[in-house]
Amino acid sequence: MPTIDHCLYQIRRVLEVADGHEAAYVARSRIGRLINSCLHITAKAAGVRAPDFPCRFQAPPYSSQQLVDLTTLCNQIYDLSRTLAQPSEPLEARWTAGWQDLRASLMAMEHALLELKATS
Amino acid sequence: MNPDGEYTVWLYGSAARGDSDHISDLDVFIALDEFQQIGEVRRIARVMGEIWSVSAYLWTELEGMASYGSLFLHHLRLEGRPLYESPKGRAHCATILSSLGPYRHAKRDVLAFRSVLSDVKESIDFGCVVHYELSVIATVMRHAGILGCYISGEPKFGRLEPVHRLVSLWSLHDKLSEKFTELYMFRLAADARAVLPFEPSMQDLEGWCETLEVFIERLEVEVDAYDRSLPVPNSPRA
Repeated sequence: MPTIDHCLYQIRRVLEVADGHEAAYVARSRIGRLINSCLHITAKAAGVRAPDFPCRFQAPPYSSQQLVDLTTLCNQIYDLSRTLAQPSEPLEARWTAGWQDLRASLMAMEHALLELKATS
Repeated sequence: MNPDGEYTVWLYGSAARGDSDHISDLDVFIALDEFQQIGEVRRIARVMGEIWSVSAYLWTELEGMASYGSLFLHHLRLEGRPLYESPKGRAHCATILSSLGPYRHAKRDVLAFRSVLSDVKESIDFGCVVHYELSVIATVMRHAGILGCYISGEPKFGRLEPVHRLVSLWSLHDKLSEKFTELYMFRLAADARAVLPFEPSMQDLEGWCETLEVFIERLEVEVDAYDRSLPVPNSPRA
């Protein structure tokens, strides 16, 4: 099962693809993989079953603030990626335009994961 | 919406083709002239429920897509049905679709399919979530199927039909069609449109990676031939 280190690696893999020609298509599945992994970490820590697929997720009410923050970031990135790379055809131009927002969320997620790693 | 605005709303996919079933979603295409409106459309679609799969584009984005003969625009032209259009939107959409040239990103798509497959293979070493990786393989295989059918001169955009058609066209193992139908349930499960067909193992995933590798290799050969046959852009035949 995914670990915090895997999640951190997957963030780097999303960042790597930003400038490539096939960026939007490849990034879409990398983001899905990242969200899925993060949700597994969150669900495991909260003692609930992890979703099988990337989705909007709500941390259980008794979860720590760190887990709530991480879940919020997952949801934010999930929503953003669906607008940037919609089901019909991911667009390089829109991907490029929305990249800064996504990058900021990814950086925040990296920070949240590092904090979680330090305290776990 | 402002009747003087420039917008169009089309139905495409299985509902437009008339072959939808109980797990089909409603594919809706919307063209607008402001990015803020896209955000609003997506919020409304979310409230309306997961059955609505909305693809919203700006006119400028559509013009860019038309410049490389976007497969999605070919899909719309072949199967789409207008639901609601402003007069300006209808005219603009007709201009874009009527001047659509051949698809010019086939080679790039194959590279992207290869990158995604490589990611899936890499994920196996990282304790991946098998369900998700199978849904990714199913998506790539369908997209590869759509591209393969298009370059073979038999465009198909359904859920399973593109891969089934290529299995027959390329004389691949008969069982592959049946297996792909099962695999695609993981893709549908990812959208909460189906239940998981079975609890998959890592061996299942490894097997599908090999199958997709073979599928992409064959597609690569076909794409090379297709690319060589394309007229040079802006030439009289293009």
